[in-house]
Amino acid sequence: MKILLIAQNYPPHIGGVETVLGTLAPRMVADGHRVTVVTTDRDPAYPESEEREGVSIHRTMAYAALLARDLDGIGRETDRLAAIKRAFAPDLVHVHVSDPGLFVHLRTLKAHACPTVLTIHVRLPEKTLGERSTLFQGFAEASAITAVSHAIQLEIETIAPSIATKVSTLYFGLQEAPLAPADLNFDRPTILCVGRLVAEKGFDVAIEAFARLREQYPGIHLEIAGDGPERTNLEAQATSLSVSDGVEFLGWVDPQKVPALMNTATIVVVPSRWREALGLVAIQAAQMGRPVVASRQSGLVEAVIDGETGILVPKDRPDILAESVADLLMNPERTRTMGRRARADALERFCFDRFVSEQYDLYRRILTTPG
Amino acid sequence: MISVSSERFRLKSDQIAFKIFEDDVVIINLATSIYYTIGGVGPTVWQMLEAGWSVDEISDAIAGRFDRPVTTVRGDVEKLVADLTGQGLILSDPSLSTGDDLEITWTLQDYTPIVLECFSDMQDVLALDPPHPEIAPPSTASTE
Repeated sequence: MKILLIAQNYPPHIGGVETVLGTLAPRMVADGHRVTVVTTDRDPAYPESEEREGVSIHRTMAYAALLARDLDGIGRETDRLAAIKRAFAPDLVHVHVSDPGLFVHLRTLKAHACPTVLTIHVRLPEKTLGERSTLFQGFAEASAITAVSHAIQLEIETIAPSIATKVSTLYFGLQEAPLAPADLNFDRPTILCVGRLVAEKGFDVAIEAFARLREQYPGIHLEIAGDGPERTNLEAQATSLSVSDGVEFLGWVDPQKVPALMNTATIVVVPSRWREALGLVAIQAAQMGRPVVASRQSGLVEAVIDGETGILVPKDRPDILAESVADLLMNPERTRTMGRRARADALERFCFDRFVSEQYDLYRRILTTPG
Repeated sequence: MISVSSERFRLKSDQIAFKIFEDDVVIINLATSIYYTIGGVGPTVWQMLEAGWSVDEISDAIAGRFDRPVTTVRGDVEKLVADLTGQGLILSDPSLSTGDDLEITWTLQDYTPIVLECFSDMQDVLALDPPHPEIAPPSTASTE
């Protein structure tokens, strides 16, 4: 098959979608398919075009042009996508929606006729989707729509009920890390948070919970991996709560090193306030056998099986978060069992081979369905 | 009462930005951030509207060019004008009595119906997964 993937970004740029596509596209090439990726939010640090692991990558500035209402730029980037479509002549186009790449795809439909698959990676606006919206037009044009979680599938069906028959959930898969999970360390417990340091991630809740836990567990340690605009505020919060000596801000961490980082954690905390589509960090933690304490929020409810692979807590409740972490620290054997279940569950439900196989099944079904 | 077909319009230039491309026109309503595209013979119609041509003049020119019944073309043009007016992109201008001369570059070989697409949620879509350039990670290191 010749597959054209359209997404906001692609590795080495890092993010949730990039993590998925950065493993999926090379695997497709290894399986004998031809894959071209077009991104819409080019980071100037990366070349406009290159080939990585057999995947042909073209980076456009469509996002910036749309954001800036730069009509010349919109025209230029649309023309570029149209030229790529004509030259590559894909069997299908797979648009990974977390950005307005959908707009430039819809505007270049005439450049090359083939089926479209849409995957929705993000929570959608909480309002009725009119038929004149970009998303609805994308839904209507697509031969199939996949959601990365049942929560997102439900949202799509709610805001665009007329296309419900085209929607299904396809959990993404994570390649197994090249190292084995380490035993959970209860002698010097480490709580780990990973993600962008933005208010929506709720790391301030983790710090407040940590301050409560420290009264009970003086040797406990909190590591926060990631960077962002909230870093200064979070550091100030740790200082004001007199726990800065126990909180370590690790900054950006090479994604390749995330599994090893997870291995140093006793418990991984995902205290998000926003509606996570699924929760990549929670799944990465589970894959490394770490129990996860996460907000009872949208996709995280699917990523974490409450009481089995981790604990779900209300968002913005540092008191309950602290109690839940304390409960796990007080019961090492139960917590180890939870970690093992988390790993087994991650390897099964978020299995990379299963994900790839189901993706191919979907493509074949579309390409063999008349009309 | 002036019939719609003899009415002339002007673009709400202070509230919109637009660009005419080979296959379509992209219009942005700057007040609402809604994007529009007009395909088919729409880019030519848009140019004529911008030049102050009436619906009758537009319909006659297009029908003549593509050898189509003028009533069919007028119906398409009137619908477009009604949509554009309803969306606040153009408005009737009784002060216009004639249209400007216009050198038209006909890119279509055959008449292609006008298609007005509206992208009413562009701002929402742009915000679905906002990039944070201020926190952009080094090129080889990041987190979710």
